[in-house]
Order: sequence, then C-alpha cells, then structure tokens
Amino acid sequence: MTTKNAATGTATGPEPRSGGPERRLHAGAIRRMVRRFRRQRAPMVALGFLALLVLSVVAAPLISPYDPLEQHLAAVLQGPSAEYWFGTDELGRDLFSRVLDGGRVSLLGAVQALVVGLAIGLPLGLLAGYFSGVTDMIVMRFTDALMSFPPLVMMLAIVAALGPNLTNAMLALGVVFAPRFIRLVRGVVLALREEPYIEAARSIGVAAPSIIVRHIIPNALPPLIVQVSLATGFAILAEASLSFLGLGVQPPQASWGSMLSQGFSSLGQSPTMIVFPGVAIALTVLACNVVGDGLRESIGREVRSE
Amino acid sequence: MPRLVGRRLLAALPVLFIVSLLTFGVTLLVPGDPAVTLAGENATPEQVDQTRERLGLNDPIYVQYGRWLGGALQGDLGESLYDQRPVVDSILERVPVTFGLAVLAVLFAAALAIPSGVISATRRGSIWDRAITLVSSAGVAIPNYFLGMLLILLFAFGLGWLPAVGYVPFTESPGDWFLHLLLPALCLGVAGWAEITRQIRSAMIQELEQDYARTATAKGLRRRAVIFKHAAKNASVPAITVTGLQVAYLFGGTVIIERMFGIPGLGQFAISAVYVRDIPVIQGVVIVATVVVIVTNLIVDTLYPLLNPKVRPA
Amino acid sequence: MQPSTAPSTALAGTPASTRPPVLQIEDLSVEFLTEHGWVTVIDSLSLTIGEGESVGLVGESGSGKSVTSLAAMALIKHPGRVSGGHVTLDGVRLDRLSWREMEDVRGKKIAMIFQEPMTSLNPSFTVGEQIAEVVRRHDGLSRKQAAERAVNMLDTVGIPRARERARAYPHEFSGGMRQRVMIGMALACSPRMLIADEPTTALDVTTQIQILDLLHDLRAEFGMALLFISHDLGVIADIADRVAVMYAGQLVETASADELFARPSHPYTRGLMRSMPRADEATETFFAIPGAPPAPWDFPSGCRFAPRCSMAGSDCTQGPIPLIPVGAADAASRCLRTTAADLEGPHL
Repeated sequence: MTTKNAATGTATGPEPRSGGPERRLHAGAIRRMVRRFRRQRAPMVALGFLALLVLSVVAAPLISPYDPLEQHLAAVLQGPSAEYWFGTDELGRDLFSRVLDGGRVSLLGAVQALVVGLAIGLPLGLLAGYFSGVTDMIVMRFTDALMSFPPLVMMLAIVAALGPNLTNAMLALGVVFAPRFIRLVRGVVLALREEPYIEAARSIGVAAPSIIVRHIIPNALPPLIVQVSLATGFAILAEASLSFLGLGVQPPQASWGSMLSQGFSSLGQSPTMIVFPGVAIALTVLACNVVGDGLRESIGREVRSE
Repeated sequence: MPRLVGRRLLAALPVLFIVSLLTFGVTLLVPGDPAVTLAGENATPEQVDQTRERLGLNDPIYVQYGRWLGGALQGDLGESLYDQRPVVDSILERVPVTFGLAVLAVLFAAALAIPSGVISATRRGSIWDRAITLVSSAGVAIPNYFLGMLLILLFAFGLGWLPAVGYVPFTESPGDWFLHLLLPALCLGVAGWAEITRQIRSAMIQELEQDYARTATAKGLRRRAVIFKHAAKNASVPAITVTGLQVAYLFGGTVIIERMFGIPGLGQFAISAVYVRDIPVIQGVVIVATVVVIVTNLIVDTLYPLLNPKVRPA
Repeated sequence: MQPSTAPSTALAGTPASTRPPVLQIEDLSVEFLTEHGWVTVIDSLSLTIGEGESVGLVGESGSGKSVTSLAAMALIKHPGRVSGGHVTLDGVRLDRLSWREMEDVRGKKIAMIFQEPMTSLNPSFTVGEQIAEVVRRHDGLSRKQAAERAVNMLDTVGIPRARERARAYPHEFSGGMRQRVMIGMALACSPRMLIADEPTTALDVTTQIQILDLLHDLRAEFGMALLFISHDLGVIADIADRVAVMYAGQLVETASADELFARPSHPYTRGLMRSMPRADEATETFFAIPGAPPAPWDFPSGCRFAPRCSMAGSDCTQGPIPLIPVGAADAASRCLRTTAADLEGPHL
C-alpha cells in the first residue's frame, strides 16, 4: 500500500521476490529459525515453561513428596494444604505427586503418538511427493480418507479393536497424525521438485535417497517442526480425552485426563481435585500452541508451505 | 451448480470407498481370533463357533467385506453384539439428540465468533483485541470437559441456574431441552469459537488491508458497510471453511460431552460400545460420523462459488 | 531576484487563476511512525486547485504524492498522521469534520481513483453494484434507480454493452476496462474534485492513452477539478493545466504546464524532463538522475536534492530552501540557483 511505502521510504520499486536462490536453505534455515524464534517473547516464555515441565516430570521421583500410588486413608479428598500441596484424592493419594507422575504419562504418550505419526507420515509423504503418479494418487486417496474420520471417533474405533490401554491409544493417535504429516511432507517435496537445482541433480543421475537426505529433508524440517509442536498440544489433549474416558492409561496409574475423570466423580465433595490436572493440561497445550505459532512466525515465508 | 455438486460427489466416491475399507478393517485389528473377542469374555467354545458362523468369519476377508458393504449400502450395519438390535436403528434413535447438540454448539461458536473476530480485527492491538486473543488461545487449549466441570460447578452447583446433567427431548419440552443442552453446547462450541474467531480475525485484517477496502472507504461508504459488506464477503470463505472443519472435531467432542452430561446421543452410544468392544456398533458410528463429515465438506465446497464469483462456473 | 528577499511559501499556494478554489492544501505536513520514530514524509505542502482546473502532481515514487492524495481524502491512517496544516474542500475544513461527516464528503464531493485497477475493485461484487452503492449512499437513490445510474455510468466511461456488463464481476474485465469502471464509480455522484493517483501506470501504452482521453473528456463534461498524480511527466503533459513537482516530501516547483515544459526552473524538474524518453529525439541512451531519493528519515537539512544535483554549492546545504517565485505568474521553485544565468547551459 502507498502509505506503507511512504512510511518505510523504500518505495523505489517492488520488494525483491522471495523464491529462487532463497529456496536453498539447508542447515541455514534451522539456524535462522532459531534466531527469529529467540526474538519473540511469548513463545520463549512458553518454551521455558515446557522445559521446566519436562524437567520436573523427569525428576518427579526426586521432587514428589509422596509415592503417587501411596494411599493415605486418613486424609481422603482433602483440599490443598501444607502437607498435601494440591490436596488428596478419594484414596488419600497425594495429588501433587500424581500430577507430576501423570505429566510423565501424558508427555510420554504424546511422544509415542508423534513417533508413530512421523514413522508413517514421513516416508509416505516423501514417496508420494517424490515419485508422484500412481503412488501419489493411492497415498493421497488414503490420506483423504483418513482425514475424513473425526479424529477422536477414529481413535475410539482403533482402541475398541485393539483393547483399551495407553499404548494402543497413542498408536491410534499416531494414525490420526499420519495423514497430516504426509500432506505436509508431500507439499514440500512437490514444491522443491520444481526447483532447478533439484531438477539438475535428478538429471545428472543423483540417486533419489541422496536428494531426499541432502535437499528435501532439510527443507521439510522447519514446517515439520511447526506441525510437530502443534501436534504435541493436540496429542496431550487427545491422551487426556481418552484417559478421561478410561480408554488410555489404566488405574492405578494416573494421567492428567484420568485424574480429571476421577475428580469429576467427586466434583460435589472436592471441587479442587479437578483444578490442578485441568490447569496442567490447559497450560501445557497452550504452551505447545504458543511455541508452534512462534515457530511458524520464525520460518521464512519461502518455506511456509502450509 | 448441480453439475458442480455432481463432480464433487463423484470425487468423494473413492474416498468413501476407502473409508468403508478402513472401517471394515477395524475388525481385522482385533487381536487373536475376533470370534473369541466378539463372543464375549465368558463364551463357551460352542458360543465362539456360533459367533464365527453367525458373523461369517469363516469366509474369506473380501467376501466378508463385500457382505458388510452390501449391507451398509442398503442401510444395514449389522447387529449389536451386546443387545442384538440392528445398529442402524440404535443410531437413528440417537442422531436427533446429537444433531441438536452439535447444531447448538456450531451456532454458539459462529454467533459469538463473528463479533469477536470482527472486533479483534477492526481494533487490532486494542485491549479488546488482546483480551479476545487471550481467551481464544485458552479456548483451544482447555479440554472441553474440564471447562464443562467448571461450568457445572458455577452454574449448576454454585448458582443453581442450570441443570448439571440430563436430557429432555425437544418434542417433550423445547425450553427444558434448551436448558439441558446449554452448558454442553457451550463447552462443545468453545474450541470452535476460538478457531473461527482466529480465522475471522486474520481474514478480516487481510481483507481490510486490500485495495478494494480503501476504494470502498474512498467512496464514502459507512465504516460498517466497508467491514460487513465488502470485507466480510471475502473473509467469509476461510471462515466457513474453518467452521466446516469444526464439524469433524465436534463429533469427537460429543463423545466426551455427552458422557459427562448424561446426554443419550451418538457419542454416548459409541463410548458404551467401546467399553464392551461392540465392534459393529463402533463401525456403524464411525461410518455415520465420517459420512456426515464428508457431506459437510461437500456442502462447504458448494458454498464457495456462491461467495467467490471467481470460482463460479461461467 | 535575490534569494534572501524571497517571499515566504505563501505565494506558491495562491490560486492559479481567478477561478475559485475547490481544493486547498495549506501547509500540510504528514508523518509516519517507523522504526526511526515519527518521520515527516510530507513537509509543509501547499497546493490549490481551482474550479475545473487540472493540476498534475509529479515526482518519483516515495516522494509523497500518494500520501498527499490520501491526506486530501482524509484517509491517512495509523501509522501515519497529519502533523500540520489542513485541507479545505469547497470552503470546508476537512480536519474539522468527524469521520462520519467525512464519509458524506468522500465519493460525493471528492472522489479518487487508484493505480491498481486489478485490486481496487472488490472481486466479490458485480461492477454494477459497486457503482450503484455509491449513488445509493450519497444521492439516496432506490435500488432500481441506482442500478440504472450504474449502467449509465458504465456507458459514459465507454464500456460497450453496459447493461449486460453491469452484471459482470471485476475479474471478467481487462485492466483498462476495470479502470474505466473505477472512473465511472468515482464520477457517479458528479464530484467537484477528482483525484487520480497514477491511474494509468498499471496499463499498457495504448490503454493508457485511451484512459487519459476519457479523463480529459469527462473532466470537461462534468466540469470537475482534477488532481492527477503521476511519476511520468509525459502523461502529466497530456492532461494538466498546471504542474506541481514533488521531491522528498516537498513541493520543489510549480508552474503552468506551458511554462514548466518550456522553462523548467528546478534542477530536479529538468532532470525529470531529460529522463523522459522522447519520440522526436533519436536518443541512443536514456538519461537518469544519478543516485536515489533519500529515505524520509535521511532527508538532508538543506536542499533535499543537493546530494544528487550537479549545481549544488555549499550554500545549498546551509538550511531549508524556500519556494522562490520565478519568472511567470504563480511559478515558484525551491532552488537557490533559479536565476536566469543558471538556467543556461548543460546541467546535471
């Protein structure tokens, strides 16, 4: 717009278009991404929160005042106190220790789901994008079909078939993620295929694996990192949902979702029981989303394919 | 227009076919001998054999699939393993309940997202914008059932304004129906509201920066005409897309929300089936939910040409 | 004439003739918030356009022409603001109007057409509707009457089969036709004043000429004043009665078109003229003024053109240079060297 040009005073012709050589990013892209990311305040705070969270759930055995499974039957359904920081549940188990322990379950679950999703999505996306043709068509039709299933409904079906436990639930979640990763990777590959230097490499007979490792993966990485961080938030929500329904983690082990479900049955007697696991989920998901948005802002427009 | 719909329908066919394959494939995921699982935990070997025979599990897989698909196309989704009722009947009974809940949730989401998105976009950087952005970020992050508990605590336990759980059919008492669905629909709609608000905000900001918006202002049109006529029509396309996408997530949401609030809908039905591993019921719900999602996308697709003349067939 | 005795800038703002003024820009300053803080992009600009007069405003991109036009429409928005002076339209101080009152003025008394006919029309509404809504808004016509007026306007601006084309969408028109639509839209309420901001820049040469001819004819037909903004002196020569040259946020020269093209006073104007490709001269090379215009936060304190000017001396950078009247009536130039002696010989 005219006003903007005047404001910056650099109205001597259009901005140089991104693309072309700018597309050749390789390792520099990640470094640039980190640099841009570090300049944003909210995402840095969110990342700090996540780091702290990971640290405290890893160090949970050291920090926890009690064994998360230890029952204090003399002190059931208590509110927060000096003795039990977050209160106790209906079996007198210390909620602070259980929130920490549940956090480990939630985060590990998210990691499992992401690994499954990436393990399916990455190779299929590369395959579809790189070889196009029939392969691409088949993969993409399956992707479309998978994307039409409402995520939680699909997870319910898989869990119903495989049996309710956390691993199966996270496997199911991985299947939910897979088509999204396939689409993203395929999109990056398709965009890159048109690049002269990739075409040149292909024409002089550089093998596909080499092109994929040297050129395509580094370029797909920044948008993939964005998606992974956003997917982490979704994974934590989904794990909590399934565990809330009793289809994820099985008692006596706790996750934030199953703690909410427990708290719901005691909502009348001890309303504080739901607060800490609920807030833990909300804050963690929020932090993942904020980091994801921050990362999205940090990748150059040239690779913002989604 | 009818030709466009036809084309889209045709394009949806292969997807539907694969959806049916995958849905049928759920049976194959059952570990070990499905007949053992499907016959129930305490079944005798005879009962297992009967089950196998009854479900045709001795036939080759593709015959089983063909039979299942043939039935599904004629509206026969098999029988519940639990109460032997036809799955279709049970689903049809519950569809109106879930439909009402989902429609209310989308209405809440969209009705609230329009003002919040527009205010956010037109007063960018203001205290309103920041508050809306903050609340919508929280709205996506908070599990709707956690929000549900908080709302129950406040409105049902605390203030006593609304019933905590339960359901009254619309045909019985529209007023009670609405009161019982108010909290569940709000919980269900929050994530959608947040997503739609964010979409409207960014789309409106983008549209209001377009040259045509400046032209409209230079013509002396009132501010509200520039916003609600000129920018809104162009911003509506992404907003409607996001709203359409919400339907898929809504289905997931209803499972939990219906269970929490004791609403006898499809979600409640599905989750009960999952507990008893009633695979035909699960398959039925999956197929119905997925077809609804695909049809929603189809409807959204056919709306585009109405809003954007550029994709309108000449 | 000695520079030291030069009268103030007020002279430059006097009307070109005895015609009553329609648009008066007086001492206008506009600044924008940038990473360098508030920077002034328009510096005490005065310009008067009389009834039915056509004034060309010329300068390189970034000189502040477009901002001037937006200021005349009271359309300067954050991060910009008017920091001094004011605009008077038909005797009404626009800065004293509320936003709502200004909405009644825009499109009715003063209208504007923009550079990009591709993006300046809303892709989602028919061109007929986009014209009709202006007359519904300002002239209170009914839907039917307004639609009829839209068809008339399309016909007036030379769009064939206007009745049918009124129902078409912008993407179904070529660039030139879209610009005709824009003109029709601007003139729909017969404004007293039309601002055209580079209306032909995005068009090919043939279409450019057609649009200029159209504007020329319609100006006579509607009897409105025109402020025509362009970076292209050639286009200005075709349409303007009087020319104002802008450089780095300031008016550097103003004169009647005849006078300016015959005897350009300011070295910058002469540079611009030399860099015009001319049909009658078989020039081998294109001339370009050396260097680039300064960014608003880098405006020199003395003559802003001095760094690019071959005639600049130490006195040029001492302090701000006023607009100095030159030869003909109402002509002025912001140059200490604007004396007869200096005007001779090859410069730059």
